[in-house]
Amino acid sequence: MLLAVWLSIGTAAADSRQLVLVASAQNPAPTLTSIETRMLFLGYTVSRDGRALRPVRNVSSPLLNDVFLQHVVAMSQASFDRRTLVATLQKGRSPPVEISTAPGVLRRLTGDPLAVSYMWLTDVQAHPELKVLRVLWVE
Amino acid sequence: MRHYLMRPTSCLFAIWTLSCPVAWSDPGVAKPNFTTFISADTVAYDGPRLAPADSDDLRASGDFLVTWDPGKFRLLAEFVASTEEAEMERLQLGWELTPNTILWVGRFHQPASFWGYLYHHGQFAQTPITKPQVDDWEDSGGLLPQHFEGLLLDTVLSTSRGQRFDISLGIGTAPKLVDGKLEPFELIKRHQGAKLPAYSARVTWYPDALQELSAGVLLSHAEIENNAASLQLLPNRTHVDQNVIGVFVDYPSENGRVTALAYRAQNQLSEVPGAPKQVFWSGYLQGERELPHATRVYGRIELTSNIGGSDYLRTLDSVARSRLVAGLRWDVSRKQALTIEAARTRLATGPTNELRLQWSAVIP
Repeated sequence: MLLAVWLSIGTAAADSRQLVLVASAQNPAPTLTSIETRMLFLGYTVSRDGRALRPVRNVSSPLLNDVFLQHVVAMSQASFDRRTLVATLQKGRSPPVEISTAPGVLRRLTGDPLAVSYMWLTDVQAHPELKVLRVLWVE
Repeated sequence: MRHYLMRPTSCLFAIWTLSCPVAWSDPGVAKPNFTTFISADTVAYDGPRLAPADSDDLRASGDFLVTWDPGKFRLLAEFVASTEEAEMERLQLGWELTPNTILWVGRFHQPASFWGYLYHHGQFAQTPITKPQVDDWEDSGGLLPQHFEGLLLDTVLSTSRGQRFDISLGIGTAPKLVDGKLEPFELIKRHQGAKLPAYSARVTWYPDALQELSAGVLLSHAEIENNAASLQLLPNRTHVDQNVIGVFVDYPSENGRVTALAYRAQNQLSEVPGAPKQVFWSGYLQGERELPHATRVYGRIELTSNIGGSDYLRTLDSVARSRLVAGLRWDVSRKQALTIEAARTRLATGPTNELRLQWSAVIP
């Protein structure tokens, strides 16, 4: 009986999707807190070893975007757009780069050691050149 | 096309057009960011016009913003080209002293203006078509200096309780007073006369560091060169000493936004023994509410007191005693909006009504 419960939990965990914060294995940040993650995508400077990290929006699927807005920055698309526009106008801070394909996000992360983005855990596991900074959401 | 579009500043427009982001193809290099705000609007009046800038019934405008933050240094340039003017509104070179502390040098929007420092020239970023008159640009009938040339320090202080203070300090040269309006210095145009100092500060408190709810204090002192003929009646009136204190509360939410602001401005003609300190108050209350189908309704009331008792205000064109504004904005898509706005304004010469329509967008 216990074995059956354990197996069913294990299967559910394996089936559930996890959204993770990722960066190149060369990235100087071992991890980021949830507040730092939010600040990074809202236009504040978040640094490691004196180097500012660069946020990359992964908009390769509507679900991914919805989860990011709801669980990472906790605001609507319109509010997020307004916040990033105002940050650009006020502080001269470049808004997060938006990339609409998963391969494009991978290329950006592997090519820029300071870039930080998010994707499904299953998409990260096949890429040892990337590392997970934190789990953002579990389905 | 008007002649001032041929000024040297227009070369920047050409640079903008010719700048090709494809050249920055290395993903490891921080690229310049190009943002363009464009808008077209029309206005119909029933009564006198509110500001000289409203001389055209159909206006089109492009606000070209370049930002570049490669490491410790940062560049910000904002160039506006419209059917009425072409001007480098901001040109700032910044040095990031510490994370989230930047020292800028150049021409900037002074931080003690609530509206100008928040939305700058990004028409799409603000919900209403019009700005409150007290916070409007100098050449659009605004009541206070908006542009300084000099140094600007921006810093963010976070507390252990999850609060945040944004502090901005500006020191530079103040605009001058000419008949009808304030006139800021232009970066490239040669200026006749003295450049007088101005100081401004803005302290904004965020109870939750990551939310937008905020309250703050605005302070400024400006020595405004007096070139207005109507203020030359007495000798030695070389400039106006202006001290402004303001307070504001800004409460945004997912369903709307409420902004309340009040300024107290004291003006004194310098080098005139016994010259009175003349005070006026100006403020506004604005509310916005989200409606279905990506629409947003808004309203604003503006009040300015003691216009008749202020020599400074009497040199400016069309200062409104009160203004009621109501409008509806429809976000047609994520990057485009249509807005209709009606206003009733009470001027010293009588009331005036206006109706505006605007299309605004941001690229990308």
